[in-house]
Amino acid sequence: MSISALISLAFTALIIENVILTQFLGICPFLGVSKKRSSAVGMGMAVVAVILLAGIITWTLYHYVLSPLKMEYMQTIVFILVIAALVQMVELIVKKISPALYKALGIYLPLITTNCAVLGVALLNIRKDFGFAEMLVYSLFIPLGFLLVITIFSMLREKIEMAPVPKAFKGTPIALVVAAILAMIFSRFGGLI
Amino acid sequence: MNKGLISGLVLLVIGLVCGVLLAFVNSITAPIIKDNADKLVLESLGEVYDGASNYTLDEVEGSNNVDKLFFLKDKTSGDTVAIIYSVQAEGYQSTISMLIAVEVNSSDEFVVAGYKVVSQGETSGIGDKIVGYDFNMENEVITNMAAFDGVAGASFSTTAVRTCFEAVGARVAADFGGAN
Amino acid sequence: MNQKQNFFKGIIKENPLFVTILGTCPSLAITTSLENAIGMGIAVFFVLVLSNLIISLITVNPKMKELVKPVRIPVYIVVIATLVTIVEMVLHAFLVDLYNSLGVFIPLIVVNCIILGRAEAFASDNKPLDSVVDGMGMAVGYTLALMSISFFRELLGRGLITIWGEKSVNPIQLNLVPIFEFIGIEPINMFLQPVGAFLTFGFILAVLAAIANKKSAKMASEVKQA
Repeated sequence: MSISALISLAFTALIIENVILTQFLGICPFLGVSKKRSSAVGMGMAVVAVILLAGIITWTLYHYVLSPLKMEYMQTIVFILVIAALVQMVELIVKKISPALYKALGIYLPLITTNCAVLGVALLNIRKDFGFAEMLVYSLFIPLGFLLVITIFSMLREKIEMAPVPKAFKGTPIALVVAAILAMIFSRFGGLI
Repeated sequence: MNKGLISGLVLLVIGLVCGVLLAFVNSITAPIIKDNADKLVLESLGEVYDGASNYTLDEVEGSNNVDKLFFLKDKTSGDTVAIIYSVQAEGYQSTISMLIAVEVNSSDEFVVAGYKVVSQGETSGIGDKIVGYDFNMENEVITNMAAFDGVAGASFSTTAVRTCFEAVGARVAADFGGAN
Repeated sequence: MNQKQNFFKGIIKENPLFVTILGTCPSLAITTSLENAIGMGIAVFFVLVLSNLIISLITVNPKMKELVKPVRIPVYIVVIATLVTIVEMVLHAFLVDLYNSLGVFIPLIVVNCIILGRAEAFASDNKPLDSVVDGMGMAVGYTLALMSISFFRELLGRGLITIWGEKSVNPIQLNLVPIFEFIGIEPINMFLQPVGAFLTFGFILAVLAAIANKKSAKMASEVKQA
């Protein structure tokens, strides 16, 4: 695959097929951990690390273990176990190496196992028949898209908290309306490629 | 015994039971899934070979220009009735994909039973005339390129179609030897 | 708590999507048609009821429960992933169209928080029968919630409601386009796009919150009068 195709894939993954706003993966943390910017950024960073690692490991496992053994049907079960184990390991390693980083990311890590973006990207890498380079680009730029959108969204939510919102819309409903407007903006990027 | 070890064993046993269960369900559903996928392919192959859906399908990966070979086999005897080749070649400004069906006639020759340009992006009004064009190859021996009749004024697109036929001819010759 | 209450709590009081806001990803992604919502609901029903049953069977024996405790999350995940894979294979074999339109969201049922959440919060502490009823209630509540979102999206976005057989020759559909034409508006395509998903979900939650606010205000005034 040529460099220009990879760049276009990166841009598509980051903006056009944005993981939250068009693929609807990782909505739970998107709504749950976006009330404050600092926690949104922390969650975003943790997601980037886990998705990239999980993407590489699951892709390798699929192509060099499951596929030769003709056990493709075990992919869901194997992938989710890999992700759960990976999250635990990343937590342990970060705790050992950098207590400061652990303090910033630690509480988000256990939540990531059930973030459907992680399993989603691992499965999409296989479904889209990606080669190694494409997989690497996709598994990096999809979570970067997550980081981008959750950061923007948390800044908007910090403002909205202070705004006089109709009582019934307080909390999640107004957040969803804000997300709708963001989705509208992002959908217009589709014409760029 | 160590408690952690027993817990681990419990997990292992549950995992094994689940694995066996999945293998069992897979053995039931996999053939049905393959049949369904084959049916879709056969339907599209029906456009170049009449009654393709009455046969069973065997797909083989090709090489060079020929990227896939579809063997249509009789449901009861299992004999190959026809082979449909999926071929590609570069045209003037796009890649041209064709399906070319080959069968054996009464005098043991490999003849063209049907063909179709499946996808192309050639110049509209000139090169794209190759879609649905009669290249005069129907019922001709596949290696007999003398019969080939191209689209006037669209030499690049015509050459690509010609390349497709030649590639199939070369493949047939390589697989079955000679012209017949 | 009797079985009836146990069942109905999942539909209204503890509705997984509208009250506890769990399982939001598929609720936004696949609610473009009523048929998809029903299909997803059936898949979740099967997985949730069986996972609740199996997990409560594993943990019904106190000794076994003690053994499983340190590895309980992996055990739940293995059980759930197995059930989901079975559903995926069966759908792929027998309902190809539905399988294609739900896409990657079938295997993603594994990480649907509702299922893991019920396993941890209910099935591991309750008897098998109660767990099955709880699973049924939750799954039906989730399905109804998905259906209500997709109902509005499909109605506003396409002007028709497909109940079953979207891609078949004779789909069971309720065509309301003439009514739209009569009023003089066209279906609003935006509702089938991501924008519509967020907007519809947000407005349904707001309406539910408004109803709840009114109820609690009424209750408060009644308490005052008494």
